[in-house]
Amino acid sequence: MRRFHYTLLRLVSASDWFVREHLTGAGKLAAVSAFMAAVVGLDTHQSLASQVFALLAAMLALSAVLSLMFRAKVSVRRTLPRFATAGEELGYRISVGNTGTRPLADLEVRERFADARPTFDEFRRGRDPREAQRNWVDRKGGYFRWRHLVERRLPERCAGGSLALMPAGAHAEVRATLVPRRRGVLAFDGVDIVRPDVFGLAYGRAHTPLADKLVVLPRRYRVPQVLLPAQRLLQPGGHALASTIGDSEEFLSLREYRPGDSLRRVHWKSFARTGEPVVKEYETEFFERHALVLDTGAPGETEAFEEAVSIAASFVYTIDTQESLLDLVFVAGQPECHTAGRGEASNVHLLEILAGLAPTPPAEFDTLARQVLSMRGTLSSAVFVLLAWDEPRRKLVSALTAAGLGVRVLLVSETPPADAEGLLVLQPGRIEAGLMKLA
Amino acid sequence: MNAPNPAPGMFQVPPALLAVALAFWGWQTKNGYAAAGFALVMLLPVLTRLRLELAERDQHRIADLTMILYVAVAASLIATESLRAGVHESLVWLPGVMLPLMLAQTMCVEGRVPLTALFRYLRKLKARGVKVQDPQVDLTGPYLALVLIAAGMANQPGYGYFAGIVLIVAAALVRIRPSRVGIAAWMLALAVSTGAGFGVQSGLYTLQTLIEDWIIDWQLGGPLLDPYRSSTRIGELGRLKAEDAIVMRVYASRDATDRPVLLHRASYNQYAGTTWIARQGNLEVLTGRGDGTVFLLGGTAAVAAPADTRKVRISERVRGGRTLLALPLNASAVSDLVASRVRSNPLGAVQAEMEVPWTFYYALYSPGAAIAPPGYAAAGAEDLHVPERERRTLEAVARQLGLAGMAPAAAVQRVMAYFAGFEYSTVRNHPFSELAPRSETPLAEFLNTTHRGHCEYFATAATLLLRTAGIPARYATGYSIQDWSSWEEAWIVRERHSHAWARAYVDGQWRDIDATPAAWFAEEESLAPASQRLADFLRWAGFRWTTRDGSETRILAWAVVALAAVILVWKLVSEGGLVRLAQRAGMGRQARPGDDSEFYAVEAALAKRVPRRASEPVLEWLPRAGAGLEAGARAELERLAALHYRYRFDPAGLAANERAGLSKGCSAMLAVMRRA
Repeated sequence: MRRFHYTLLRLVSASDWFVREHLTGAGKLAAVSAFMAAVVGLDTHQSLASQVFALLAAMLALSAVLSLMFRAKVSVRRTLPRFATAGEELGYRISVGNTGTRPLADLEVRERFADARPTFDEFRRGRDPREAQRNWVDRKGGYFRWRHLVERRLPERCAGGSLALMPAGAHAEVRATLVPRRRGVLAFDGVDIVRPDVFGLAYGRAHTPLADKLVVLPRRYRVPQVLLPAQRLLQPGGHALASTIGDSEEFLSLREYRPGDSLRRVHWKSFARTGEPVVKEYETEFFERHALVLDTGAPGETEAFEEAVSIAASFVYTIDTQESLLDLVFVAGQPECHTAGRGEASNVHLLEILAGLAPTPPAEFDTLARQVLSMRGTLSSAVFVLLAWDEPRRKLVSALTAAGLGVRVLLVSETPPADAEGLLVLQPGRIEAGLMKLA
Repeated sequence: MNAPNPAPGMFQVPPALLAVALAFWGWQTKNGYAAAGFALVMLLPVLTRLRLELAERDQHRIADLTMILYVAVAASLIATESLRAGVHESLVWLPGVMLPLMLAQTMCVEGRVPLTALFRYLRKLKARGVKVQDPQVDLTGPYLALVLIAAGMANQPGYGYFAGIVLIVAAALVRIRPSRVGIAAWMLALAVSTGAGFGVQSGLYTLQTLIEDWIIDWQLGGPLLDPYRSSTRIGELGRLKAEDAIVMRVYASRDATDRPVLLHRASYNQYAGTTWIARQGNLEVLTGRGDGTVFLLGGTAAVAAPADTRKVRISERVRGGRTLLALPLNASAVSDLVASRVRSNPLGAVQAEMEVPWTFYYALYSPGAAIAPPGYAAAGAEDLHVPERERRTLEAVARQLGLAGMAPAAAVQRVMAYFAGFEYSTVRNHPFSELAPRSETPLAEFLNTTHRGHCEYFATAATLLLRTAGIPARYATGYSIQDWSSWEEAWIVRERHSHAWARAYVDGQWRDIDATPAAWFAEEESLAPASQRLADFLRWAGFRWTTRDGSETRILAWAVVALAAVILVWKLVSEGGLVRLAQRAGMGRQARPGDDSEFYAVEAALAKRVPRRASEPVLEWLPRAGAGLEAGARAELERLAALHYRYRFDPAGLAANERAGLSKGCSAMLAVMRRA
């Protein structure tokens, strides 16, 4: 039965794609009108509506034949940036050259993405993040699951450009835009040059294969400037670049005072001048190290999981890694810790890791807890992005608090737990408003 | 129009073309005045600068009311006509019904309708907080298609419709002609597709005619409808289908002893295989007399009615637009029959054509001997024909009964007595060859072996046996009238009361010979479901509803339509939807939500005391401006400012009490400032 659903959805998806790609807006209207006219005018002795069907069907057929005759010799080149961010518009350029001997007119340049339809195995294992909200028919039919699986590989919006006239040998550039729907990789298949037929009902198309990939970083939220405790600790074994920026007697810079800074470091002249406490910084092997602990334990790519990744990305983007180290800690089969800051790796590196992150079984939290506890000696603070608030998580947080770390706990959940004290509960869909409470 | 540019890929039709299409609709449907009104309404965006400022929920409401309007119109049309005719007619009126929704688009400031207005399910999802795509859509294209299809539902003969749709579609498409395509090439393509379209529609029409003819000729040979052919179910396995739907009501007194018991619909004179055929049974048109509702059977040659002519009122169900009238033996005329065409054949079948679910008529008949029933052909050689494959069996039976040389009346008595010993049964569970391997036909098996069967067996066997005895006979079909309904005070006839019998020419007159054992009716009744009484009541209610005088329900239906329209207008006016916009020339600024906030007066009054610097946000300026006020007044000012901004920018708006609070607070604040 599931195989039947899968085949049916695949067919429907293919025909939907065909109609979308081959008919213009007017063409779609003509096709639907012809169908409606055929239905109500089935009895040609009772009504003349079938004549609307006959006329539109003849026009569509002629359009289809003429559009098949469209040939275009073109060279296409796409210039993509390295990254895109989910939910944010990305602009890039597509250069088109007319390599044929005849001029081309009324062209539209369109991206074609790699086949986004899931395999049967993916369909079987996949989950619709909003499955709980669906009715029985929708759950069993699997349409929304299918749609989710297809859409995750396609951008939310994508617009090419149009070229009014291209003489033979001419080159032109169009600015294309797209809005990625979610983090991950967006796979391009090629570029279609399309042209409406004589009636403007169907598109003739010339396809140029041009495979490419674009890494889409997670969606980010605005996070208020979080003041993390500036407790500097000795980083055993030193740090690759610790010798250039450290706490030796060599003066490095001035910066604003943060809780925990020694009063001896206050630069009184600047304090007097600006009215704000300013401290002196020296090169050191003692520096701040913050951990961003991401709970990946989810039954699938649920909405909460995606939001948690986005929150982590927002912190990675916001926490200043110029002067401190940031450890991104999570579990992906085994505990992983990726460090950015002080020149070792940029936070873009961490965002890239987050772009490809997959959920893990919720039971693997213990591994994460052991990893974080083993790091506590070097950490100044920890920010937790959790998906549940149970005993193991509670224990880990209290252990770190007891060890003197500054701990912030963010819980992504629809419903706040009974003992939500000390937690910032963020509801999926209303994350940004929730994050503002951090300020 | 002040509408924004259409989204790419969206097909837009100008109001003028829609008005032309509506005029075309009026021409086709012969609703000139209505079409003129609709076209005028459609031209409103061109004729006036008035625009409605409709919130999303207003458009949702208009779409809902449009749907209610359609249901009301369709229900009223179905109520006054049949289901099929009502649905058909409601499609004709769809352009008028959809007009409010179109106005919601063309007359609103946005010039579009949100997709959620059309789909309640999307609205529900959105209300539940599910992220749904809700683009603004343009309905002019679909509306144009709808108008053209609705015009076609009127089914006007001639080529006017096709020419009209070609011109209107061409006018719509020429606007999106690609720039590289010259007008000559475009016209050529249009001519080619018009020719092809015309060919396709002619082909479709011819194809349907051919298929219908084929079906009528070969497939629909049931005893209920076809005067040419009656395929019996002789020899078929299983139980005879016994529908208890009521197909006829006969308004004769319960106690009348001379009421007709068998109502005849068609006779057949040749038996081939298991099918009876009416040879020389061609239907000829009968011309109505008087006001066109009286039809003399036998046409102009009809003799004057005998003095003791009786009248019986009958209502009969009509399916597929035509029915064979059920008439008593010796019927001379039909009166009060409203039909578009009435035809009859020499074998007594009278077919009437009309587009109503039930027809009423009076059958005029004389209860006496049927010496020469009007319009009923005299006995001929065909009425003595016995098929070769049944002959041996029938002759054997005739010999056994000693029919040879017997007087016709006595022979009829003997045949009746013979079949009285048979058993009535609607069930047959075995192929006939199993029981009687030597039997050549199912009829022979019935006569020789099983001695049981349904009325078609008895009627066929009796007809052929009488013919073997030299008595001209025909196979007659119709209804047996036996079920009295005290509730309806009429004899009701169900589908399972359809019956077959022999009609024999005995001693110079036609007589109905029903050889089926009298127990058949009791057996049929035993098959009735327990719920029949309730079902009969519902059928009676439905019958009364569909056959009542239509004028009062039409008034009721239009009252519903008017009520829906009044609610729509009231909702729009009472919820602040009507906003007159600035003249088009000076239209720099559109009305915005919250423009009527009283806080502007407070702001103006404050600005007189402490002018606001250019580009200074109001919320930054307020503490400065309110510095001279008391602390309580300053706090109140902040509260009012917050309310004001919510009123202007919060999509959910203010609750009624908050809105009142803003108004009251601002008045109070103005008073405070005047005092200060």
